[in-house]
Amino acid sequence: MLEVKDLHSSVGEKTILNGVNLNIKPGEIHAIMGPNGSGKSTLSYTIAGKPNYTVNSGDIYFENQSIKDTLPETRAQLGIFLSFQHPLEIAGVRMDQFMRSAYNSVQKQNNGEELDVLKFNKLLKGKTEELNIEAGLIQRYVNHGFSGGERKKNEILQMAVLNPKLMILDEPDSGLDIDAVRSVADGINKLRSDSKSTIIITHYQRILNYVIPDYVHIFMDGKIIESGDKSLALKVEEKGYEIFN
Amino acid sequence: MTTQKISKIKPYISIYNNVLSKFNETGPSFLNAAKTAAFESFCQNGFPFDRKGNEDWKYTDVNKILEKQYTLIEETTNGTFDYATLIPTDIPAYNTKNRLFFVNGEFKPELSNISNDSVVIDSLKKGLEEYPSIIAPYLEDQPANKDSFINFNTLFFQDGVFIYAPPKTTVTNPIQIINIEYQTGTPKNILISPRILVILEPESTIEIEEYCFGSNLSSNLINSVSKYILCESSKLHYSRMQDFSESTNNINNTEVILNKYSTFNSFYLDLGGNIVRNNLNIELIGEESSANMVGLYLPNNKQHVDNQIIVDHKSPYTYSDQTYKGILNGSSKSVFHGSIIVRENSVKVNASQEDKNLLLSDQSEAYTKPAFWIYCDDIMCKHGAACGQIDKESLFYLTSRGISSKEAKQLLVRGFAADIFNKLKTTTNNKVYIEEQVVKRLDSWL
Repeated sequence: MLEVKDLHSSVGEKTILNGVNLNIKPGEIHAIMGPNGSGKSTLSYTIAGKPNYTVNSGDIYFENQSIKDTLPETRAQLGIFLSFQHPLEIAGVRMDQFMRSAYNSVQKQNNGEELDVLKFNKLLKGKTEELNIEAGLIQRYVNHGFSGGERKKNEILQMAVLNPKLMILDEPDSGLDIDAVRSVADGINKLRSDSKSTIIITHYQRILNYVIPDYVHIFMDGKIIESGDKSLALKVEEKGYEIFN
Repeated sequence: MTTQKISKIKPYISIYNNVLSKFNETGPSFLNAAKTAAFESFCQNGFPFDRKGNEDWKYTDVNKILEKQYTLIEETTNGTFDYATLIPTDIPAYNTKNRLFFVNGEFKPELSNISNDSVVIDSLKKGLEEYPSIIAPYLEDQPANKDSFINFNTLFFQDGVFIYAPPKTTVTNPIQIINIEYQTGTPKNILISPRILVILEPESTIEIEEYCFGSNLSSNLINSVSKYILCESSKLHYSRMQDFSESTNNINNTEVILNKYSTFNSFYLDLGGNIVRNNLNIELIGEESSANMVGLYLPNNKQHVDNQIIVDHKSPYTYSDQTYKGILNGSSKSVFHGSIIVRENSVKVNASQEDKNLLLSDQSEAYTKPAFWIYCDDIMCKHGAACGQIDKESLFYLTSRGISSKEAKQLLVRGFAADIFNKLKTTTNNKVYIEEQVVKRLDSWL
């Protein structure tokens, strides 16, 4: 589904990724673990197509097509979803408006049915119930006055509505208490399927107790330096990242 | 005065002298006295051409406002032309249809619905004939040397709006004032001087919606003076949408007097005009009176919008709030100069002010200047001002969900204006209409 080939990228003048290789098949869950500043978020932004994140060499293939020169909206329409580490507050834009715009944009690109306000709100409300999210959130401005936990849950809600093929979760557990981590993990598990792939970026293996990865990659200095199964995450937890230096 | 300055006022002196006899014949004596006083002051002071050392006109050039030579027109008549066709069909309609309709400043009674029942809703000309004793105090009290443009209006105004609400009266539906610029053929550069006088006796409540529309060919100077007198416990909701021709200059001088427990809510939307200047002077003279002022300006191309607000808290326990926002496109400019004065002994005043600007182009400029004059300790005041562009991080957040960059910008820009609509205290009809006009304008830019 996703193939990252010898990816080098930079933000402005600064080179961050130094040859990342990653191959993700449908249904797989990959965890990417690494210390602060190792370039994990840069990898997720580069895959999502954030402006100013330049690919210097290498390529990113999504369903066998190169996406490195496409716009972020195109990537989202193809089925890539980035759950932000720090979801933004958008003043004056209501959740339901925002999500309907996004949903219809994705539907339109994929020749699906675009929904009017009534039909869409029904769908959105259904998703909040499925994910146990307070329905009042959808009437509010995007992330406006949301707690840390609500923001993360809101990312999961957006993901549920847009139904992407590839979910990239940038530290979905950061800043959350144990109950909230469990609830976010439940959400991710509900959205999993054999045809969808997941990348979880995290510092700690805590969330991996609930979302069991097929592969764990250790990310340092802008590249993957070691790959393994879930046991690698436990090793990190026990001994820290220093052992890889 | 320099020769250049004299040359700018001279034509208007001669126009005034020409029409003076007409005023003397038709108007009541107190009106002529007011005009004479204004004339003396005008001859002495002229216009505020100097920008250096003049904070009030620092960012708006009066020379540019008066670049063209404006003249009075006799009457706008065009055979059998149906002026009703000039009124946009989508503006809110109410059962009561209290409507005053003006073309180039001239009252069109045949297209207006006036009322002389409990509440008087009529043209000022008619008001001067029928209710001179009510109107007189509010014309005579204009200090002669006040503001140049107020004097300029006093010299030339011939008509306008007169609304009088007796004690304990309420008009359930809004009263509409519709101002239309109409021009065929070569632009005539007309000087239009409307005058609005609204008096609310104790415990009365009214709502006014003013709509201003321009024709592309118009290139006028509309210099209006409005005065709102709010007696004890009265309430006025006022909403004004201005969409004059982009070649027309528009100066509004508005004075609001608030007595005890009275409330004034205003909304100014500026879409049109070349140079637009809104002077809003609020005097909170009675205890517990309150004023909520909301404004939105959306200049484009070379438009210039200047909001000057002075809120004078002359009594204890008074409240005021100014919330203004601007979205600027092209090489437009905006000025916001909001002053709050809290007088000695005006304890427990609560005053706030905010002006935020979103610049959609690199060529647009927003000047925002708060000023506080506080002479009392036990009060609460706050202000905020900001200028910025569309936030790139927010834009990425929206596009990362599949929304096109264009649509994402539309959402963000509308979102920027959203809290203005939340603050509107007018009818749902008015709000919906205003919001539609704003969205139409904004979407056309993105």
